[in-house]
Formats: sequence, structure tokens, C-alpha cells
Amino acid sequence: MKGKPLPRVTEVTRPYWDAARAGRFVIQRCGRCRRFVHYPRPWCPHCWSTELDWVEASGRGEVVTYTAVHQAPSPAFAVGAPYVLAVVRLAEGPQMMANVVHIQPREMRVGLPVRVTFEEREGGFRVPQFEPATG
Amino acid sequence: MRNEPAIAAATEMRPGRYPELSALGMYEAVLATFLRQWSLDPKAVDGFLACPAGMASGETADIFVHEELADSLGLHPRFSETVNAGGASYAIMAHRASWAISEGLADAVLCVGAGKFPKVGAGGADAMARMVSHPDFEYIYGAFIPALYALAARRHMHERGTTREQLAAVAVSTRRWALLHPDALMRGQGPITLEDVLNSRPVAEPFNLLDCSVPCEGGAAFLVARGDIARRITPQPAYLLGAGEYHDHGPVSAARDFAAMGAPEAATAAFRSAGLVPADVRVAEIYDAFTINSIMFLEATGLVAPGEGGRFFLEGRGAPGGELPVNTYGGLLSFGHTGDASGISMVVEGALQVMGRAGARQAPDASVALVHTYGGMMSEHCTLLLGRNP
Ligand SMILES: [Zn+2]
Repeated sequence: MKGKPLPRVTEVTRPYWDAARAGRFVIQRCGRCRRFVHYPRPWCPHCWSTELDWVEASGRGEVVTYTAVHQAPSPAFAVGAPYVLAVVRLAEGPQMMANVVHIQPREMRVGLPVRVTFEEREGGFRVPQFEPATG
Repeated sequence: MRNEPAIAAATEMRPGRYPELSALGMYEAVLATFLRQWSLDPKAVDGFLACPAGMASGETADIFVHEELADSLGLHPRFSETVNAGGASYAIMAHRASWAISEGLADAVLCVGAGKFPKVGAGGADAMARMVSHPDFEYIYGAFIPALYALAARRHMHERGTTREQLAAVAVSTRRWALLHPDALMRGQGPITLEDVLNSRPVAEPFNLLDCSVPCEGGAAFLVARGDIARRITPQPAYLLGAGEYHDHGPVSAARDFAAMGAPEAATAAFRSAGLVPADVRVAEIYDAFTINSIMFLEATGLVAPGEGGRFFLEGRGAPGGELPVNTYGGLLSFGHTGDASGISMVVEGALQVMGRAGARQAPDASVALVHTYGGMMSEHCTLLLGRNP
């Protein structure tokens, strides 16, 4: 069976995936207005500066919304169904999609504090995921 | 709006499965159905808008379909293009057509859409997931269409107290309307109960199978014409009183308000341009890929108060005989979701209601109809207000 999908790596997103491989969670920060930006892009959506830096993020966030997926879109995801798909708001501000792992779907709630963890995929890829933050 | 643009003719082909037809063949079938019902003079039509053919099914993404079809129809339009904003394409077409007519760029604009929905099994769900989610930052997490809508449902439930049972009530109400439409896909299945919805198999929480629209194939065409031309075609055209658009987010994870998406902005602009208020609306046709959509967009367009949408359906107020008929053709939930063409169904039904041509499902008072559509994952929104008087 084919494994879970891998991201395409572009010039813009390479630092993100390289950092994840090394177990680090980085996001972009605008050099002009200092706001954080995610998903990665060549400009700041707030001020259109093209000077963006990669910075270490806290890896902390909270669940904005979630679902438990029972009918997976492909066999690779069916293995883990039901799995939790969520939108997480990072402590730095931007939102991102991820799975919340190490939790039962019935224990999920909006506002749940989470922290980043990494999931191994094929080819040495590590994909940022979230787990409940304890303490 | 100036020059009183109005929908003068509208026909939807029977939704179903048409395996013998190609993407372009679907368009031909839709247009042939339309031309059989309305005797129109090709010389009177000088505008033509179409949607890319074959996109959702992955067959092709023909963006020159307006050239091919205009030629085939013997048209030489002075206003024509292939438009795409997903499910919002057709309300946007009506908006563009009325604007072109008001500006004197065209007198009568033929708008058409045809679509196929890929089979959800056989890799269809995965192919659609790749198309509608961010391929690198969403798709890799097992995102797919019902799950992405479930994110909106969960947030709506959290913020506004909407319940699982209220979602089911939308499916029940919408099925009751479908039973009154001779072409609705689920008509033969008969009525459903709250228990039927609650006991159908889980897809992505809180949705079960009966919270999801029914994939099929089909399409429709409608003609937007200058008021005087429209009145020569039909005694009661559906005047385009107002329209508003708002293009909110790309990937759904970037949405700023999961309980409303960009709908309030589009609806506010539509009411402002029409000089109307939500209390003027007598019929509502709302894009309903999933049960949550009817609740959230009824609220977002101001037709009911925030947090009241779920109770509205549970109390049967949108069902046949209710105070504000909602999705009178059976919705995408029970009439059928025709893939690329889905967003044309509620435009056609809004027009037919206002024109008084909705047969057994005719609302008692259809003086003003609101049509709300969106494209992508509730990304881009277009609201139309149609009415009996210009
Ligand atoms: Zn900036």
C-alpha cells in the first residue's frame, strides 16, 4: 500500500521541511512588520514586504476546530481511522491544519492546548503534528 | 440596477448519471434541454458565459468551452468568457451578466453550466481532496471534503450551540422539498426522519452519510436579459435586484471565521445594492453541500439571528408550509450535487420561484428570493436577490 502523501518541497518551503527533518518547528516572520506568517510564502500578506525570516516557533497552540474522520479519503489514512483532523492556532498567531495525535477523538475539544510533535513519513520526511499539551 | 436586468428563462436538466456523455457532451445535453423548453431567437442573444468543462471529474479542464459552445450555437457574442469561482460561478455569472447589460455591453446573456461529480469510491474522494485542499499543508493530513466542512460545523456548534439533531433536521426539511420536485434524485427514496440521519454511517464527525449532498451529473442554463427583452420572453421574469460577492480565503485552514466564512460580507453587499433588508426575503436557496451550510448561511445572510439557524430547521420553519421556504428544489442534499454545475441549481430555482414556475413546490409568496452560493471550501461567496418587481 502507498504510504501517506508527502509534501512537494519548493524553494519557498524547503527551510520548513528541512527543519522538520531535524525535529525543529520553524515559521516565517516578516522583517518589516514583525508579524508571523504560515503557510510559507514569498511575501508578507500583511504588508507585502518580501523580506521574511525563518524563526523557531514555540510549537504551542490551541485547537480552533476539529473533526474525527471515519471515512478516510484513501487507504493510507483508512488504517488510522477514525483520526483527528484539526485547525490549530499557533501561539504566534497563524493557523495551520494538522492531525492531533495521542488522543481519543471523544476527548477532543475546541480550545484544547496542544504542542507540536513530528510524524515520520517515507523518504525521511517528518511532518509536524500536534498532541495534547500537558502541564 | 439600471435597465432592469432579469432572468427571463431557466431550465435544469434532470440530475443523474450520464456515462455516455463527455464533459462537452453534458453541455450539449443541457443546452438542448434548455432550447427545447424556451423558443428563443439566437439573434437576440449577444452574451455567453460558461464554466470550465470537466473539472471536478478530472476528465479535462476545458477553459475554451465558451468559444466552442458559442460557435456551435451560432452565436457571435460581444460579451463572452469562461468563468470559474467553483460553486459561486453561476451566481457570479448572473451578477456579471446583469452588470454587462446595465453597462450596455450586452442585451441578453446566456449562462450555462454542466458537471459531473466523480465517484467517491474508486479514488474519486482522494482526487477531489487534492484539488480542494492545500496540497502541501492540508492534503498531507488526510483532509478531504466532508472533513473540511466538518471543521465549520464543529466550530458553529461550539460558538452558537448548534446541535447534532439540528443538523439532521436540515436533511429532513430538504428531503421534504425534494419529494415535491419531479426530477430530484432522492425523490424515489421517500421521506427521512431525524433518526434516519442520526443512524446513517459516520463520515466525518459530526456528519453522517445523510448530512452529505448526493453526487451526480447534470447542469442548467439561464438567460439574463434587459428588462424589456425579458418581458417579451416571459410575463414574469425574475429581476436581479442586487448582488454581492466576497472572496474570503484560499485553504480552509486560513479561514478567519469558521462559523460564517465570507458570507456576511457578500450578503450585506447584495442587500445594500438592492435597497432591501433580510425581512423582505420570502424564499431562500442556499448552497448546501452539507447540512451545516443551510444553518450557517441562513444566519450569515441575516435571514435568521446568529445561533437560531439550527432551531429554525428543527421547528420545520424552512420546510414546506414553513414561514421561510429554504431550498425548495430539494437542495444539493436531496435534489443532487452535479459537481462543477452544482452552484447553478439554486440560481435556477430562485428564478423559477420568483417567476411562479416552480410547480408543486411553488412557495406561496416568492416576491423576493435570496440565493446564496459559494465556491471552494466556503472560500468565495456570491449572494443574489431576485424579485418580481424591478
Ligand atoms: Zn509584514
